[in-house]
Amino acid sequence: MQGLFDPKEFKLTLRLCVPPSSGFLVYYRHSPIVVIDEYTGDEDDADAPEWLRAHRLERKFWQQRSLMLDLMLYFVADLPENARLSSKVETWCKAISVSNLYVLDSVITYPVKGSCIWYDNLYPSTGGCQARLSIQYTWTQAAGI
Amino acid sequence: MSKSSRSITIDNWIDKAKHYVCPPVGDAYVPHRSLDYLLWQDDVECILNVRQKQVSKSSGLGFSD
Repeated sequence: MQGLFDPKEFKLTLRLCVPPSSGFLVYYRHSPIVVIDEYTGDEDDADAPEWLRAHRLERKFWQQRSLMLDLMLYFVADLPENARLSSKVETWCKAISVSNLYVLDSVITYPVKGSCIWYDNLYPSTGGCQARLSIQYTWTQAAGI
Repeated sequence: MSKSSRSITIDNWIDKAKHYVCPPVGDAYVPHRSLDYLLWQDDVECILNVRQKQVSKSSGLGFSD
């Protein structure tokens, strides 16, 4: 039975949304929802986190994709609440990154942030493997390999 | 319950990130395949929500009888 003075448990959740223009498969547009912080107590507590004060509002903003992928993987590994989501999140993170494009790494290096995460955006109108194969072909041609 | 270091970090992150509310906008003067074109595009939208659950003090005490 719940009492008037029972503590409340708050969980801050994060979901990522990839814009359609990025060229990834629409199926992976939304990430799984992961818990990134929690607090037990009252929202009016002096020590309550700031994110609790605006808890009736859904907060949206934009951040760099590579940064958020790292954060998602970190939160899944760090918080027990996300344990059952581990494989789902890892699959999603792989799907919207091109870290598995080992072929591209050996074909060409491009001086942008020392990473090849940008290559999959070269052909926004195509998706997934088609885009990757096209890029591989183009860069191979350009490099004269 | 005092504020954890994780909460402090997340509060700081939200405080800085909350201003980036506009989706990436393309620049018509930037060539479609240039690297500048890619830089503005590589963002994702973060959606934060708070879930609330009432915790009953009487539950979870572990009485088996």
